[in-house]
Amino acid sequence: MERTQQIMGRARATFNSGRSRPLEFRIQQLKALERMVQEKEKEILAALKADLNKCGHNAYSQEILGVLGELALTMEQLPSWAAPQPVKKNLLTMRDEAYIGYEPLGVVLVIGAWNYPFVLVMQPLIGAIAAGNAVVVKPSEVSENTAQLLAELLPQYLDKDLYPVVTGGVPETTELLTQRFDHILYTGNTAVGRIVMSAAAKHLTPVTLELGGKSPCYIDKDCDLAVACRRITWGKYMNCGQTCIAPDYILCDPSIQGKVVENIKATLKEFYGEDVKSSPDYERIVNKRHFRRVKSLLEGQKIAHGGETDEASCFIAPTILTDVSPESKVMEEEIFGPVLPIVTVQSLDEAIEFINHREKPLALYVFSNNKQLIKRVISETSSGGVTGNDVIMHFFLSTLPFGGVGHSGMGAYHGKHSFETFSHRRACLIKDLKMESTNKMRYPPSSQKKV
Amino acid sequence: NPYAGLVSHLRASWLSGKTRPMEYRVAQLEALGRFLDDKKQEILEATELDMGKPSFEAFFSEILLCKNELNVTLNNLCHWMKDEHVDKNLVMQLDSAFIRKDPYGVVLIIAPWNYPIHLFLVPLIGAIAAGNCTIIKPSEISKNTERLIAETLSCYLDNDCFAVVTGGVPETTRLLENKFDYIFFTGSPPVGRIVMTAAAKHLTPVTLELGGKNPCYVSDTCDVTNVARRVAWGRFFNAGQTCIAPDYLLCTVEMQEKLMPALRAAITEFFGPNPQESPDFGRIVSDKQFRRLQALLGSGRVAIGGQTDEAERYIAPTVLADVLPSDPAMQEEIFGPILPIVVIANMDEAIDFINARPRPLALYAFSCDSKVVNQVLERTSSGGFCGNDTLMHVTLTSLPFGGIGNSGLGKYHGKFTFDTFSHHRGCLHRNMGLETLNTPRYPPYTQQKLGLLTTTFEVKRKGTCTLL
Repeated sequence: MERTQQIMGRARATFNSGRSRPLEFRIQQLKALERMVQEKEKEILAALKADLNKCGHNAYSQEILGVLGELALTMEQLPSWAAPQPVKKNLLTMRDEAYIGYEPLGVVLVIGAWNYPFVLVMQPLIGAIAAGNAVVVKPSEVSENTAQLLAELLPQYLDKDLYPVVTGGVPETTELLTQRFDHILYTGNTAVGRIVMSAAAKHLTPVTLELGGKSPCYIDKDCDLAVACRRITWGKYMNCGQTCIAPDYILCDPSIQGKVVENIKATLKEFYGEDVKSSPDYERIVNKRHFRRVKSLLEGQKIAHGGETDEASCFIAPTILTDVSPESKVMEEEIFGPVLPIVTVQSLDEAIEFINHREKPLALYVFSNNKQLIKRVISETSSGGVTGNDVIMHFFLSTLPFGGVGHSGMGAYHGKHSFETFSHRRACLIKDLKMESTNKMRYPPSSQKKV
Repeated sequence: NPYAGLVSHLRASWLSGKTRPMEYRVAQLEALGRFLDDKKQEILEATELDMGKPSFEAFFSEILLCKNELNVTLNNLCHWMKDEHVDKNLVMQLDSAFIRKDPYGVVLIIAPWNYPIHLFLVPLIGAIAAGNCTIIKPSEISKNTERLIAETLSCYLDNDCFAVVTGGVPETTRLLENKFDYIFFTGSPPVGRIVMTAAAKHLTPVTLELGGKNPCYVSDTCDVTNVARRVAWGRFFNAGQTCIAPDYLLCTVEMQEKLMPALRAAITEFFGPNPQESPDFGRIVSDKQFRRLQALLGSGRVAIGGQTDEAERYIAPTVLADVLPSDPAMQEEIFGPILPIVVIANMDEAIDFINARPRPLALYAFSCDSKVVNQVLERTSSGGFCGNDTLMHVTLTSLPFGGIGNSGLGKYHGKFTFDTFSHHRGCLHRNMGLETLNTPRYPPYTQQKLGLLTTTFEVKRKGTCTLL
């Protein structure tokens, strides 16, 4: 496609000209992004409402607050992050300069997702700009209002040559992936993650893949169930369950299953009132295709709470399923909807084995008053990240690397980790052209003495 | 799938958790150290048979550098394995936030033939240190070393967790059909693409240590004798079969004139009047590589060396003058004892020449003027950089070793190897109490709650950046 080639050509030529390298330039671009978020807050919230029926509070706290925080942190820390890092020298290099230099990679690609369409483009973009790269932004076409808005706004605030926005669906993305990038950060599902990595392999392009999976949530018998269930309810049903790090399913002892259901029900009433459908704080499924997908997961299941659906508005009530069989459809794929299955396990050992027999998840949650138990679960499992005694929250600490492992992804970002993801760490050793005598030991002809 | 059984055996060992305790990892690493000590003679002999590797070089690269990596790792493992506690925000002051270094699981290391012990062993050190099980696939081209590794490594390492697979392209292709949790590959860019494509099917993360043409710029202001020595050393080490060797020289026609006698002198100083008789000069690893290199001798004009002996796979330390960018020697990574000199008018032209080509694994610049060295460094991109010397930046374990673009992705050496083979897992361990602090985040939403949330979550800029 000619347009893509032109966009790439311009981005690369501009990068090669060195425009994006000076720290002042990068900070100026980040400052412009900050202005954009502040000045266009209304438009951003409106786009999120149109795409996901996200209410203002949610949209602001989930998508805008985090972005402003990341911008402030990055602008503050950039000079220190970008500074060359001297390293420990050995005897032979004592008199030399040895350090790691942080350099931009070149032209990078950020592919966003539809569930948090603003923050999942902005956060990688911030890191990529901070590291001095040119960035091609490809927002998800499924959240079309946000994609359109980004296509309009970014060129108004940022350098037009360095940070182009490419919109479109599968054909446009496929075309984009034939181009040569110096890094690709993709947020989305496992299947497409494979496609992105295969395309990247042709150009030996490094990738960061933020994928998904079924994030388990183990509730120990020894824990404050009211608190645990309130926190789980918050994380599970936010954005109508369409969160990559939502607690996907619960593992607990059969003896507490009933109490878990009661507590979640009570919390749901507290959060959304008697009639969830009329609560302004509850979102909708993004489109009919996903609505039908999530609805079909309810077939044949024991619905302990919820289950109401309305296709016209893509509404699915907050739902709890009990005594779910590990072999059922709802336990096969990532749910990505407001359906919470409870699978009972007889012991902690069984829970750990259950988790380890499945693909490594993006997040793992464990609730217990027993610190040792939590430590054991962390040590005996693997996952992208972990929050103990809460859900979601590790995402909000930017000093923690955010990313997956195995099928849930590779690489990480947030805060300084974004900067490092989009930088090349170049080893630099600067020696003196004099002092040749110390080199003599390494030159042939060899003798036992030299060794 | 001929390797499915082996991989699932290793995976079962991995799931048993036996590679995770520090004591286990230390024991395996110490066993690797004993392997290097016990088999030192065999290693020198095998590499000599494979590519005429001089025993001084073999000791330096295959034993000494490996033991350094081993000792750095053993000295620091306890510290590297510890959870890394991170700074917390306001809301999480009472929580525990740390980065846990988890092993990946079952990893694969594919090594090339040119430094056949070093290039499997140094990655393996990191893989073991990080708590993984490992399959090692040495190169079939360095067949004596391959046999040594296949026959003796199992006497030192736990066979339930570490295995050696031998074979050529068909065997490696079948091996790559299996799911690994990490793949570490050292070799050429075309094969690197194949490895990454195979890895993509399983979403396996990779480190690719590839290659390219490493430029070596020599400015007009320099100590010609020292430059010649350092460049000759780097070029002719292992008969040029080094991924970070200076591949070609860029200098003015006047400097080419000055360098030639100095290079000649250095070569004679190192290898004597007839390098073929020197025990310190290697041979080409195979007939195929020999013939490939022989064909490059037609580029430019042979100013030094040029002699070959097919029976011994000997190619003399050679310098080609007045080589053109279109010549065969400038089309591929040389990987042999041939140093082409491409004449340029000045530093700017040299930098443009370098930047018009794929980014190399290493880049060298020689000048008595440190501003010149810094200019070349700042205006180019490469895996690593060494000013006023060759090769040496990779002997410092505190520097990351890896490529960029066509020369590779990922890095290792020292702690970087440990980090390469670890999954850095972000962990937040919260307090079950103090639930009231969470209230602002719960529905039903109010303006007041939003205000509270903003105050507690917000990161405020401390002051205006002095750069603006």
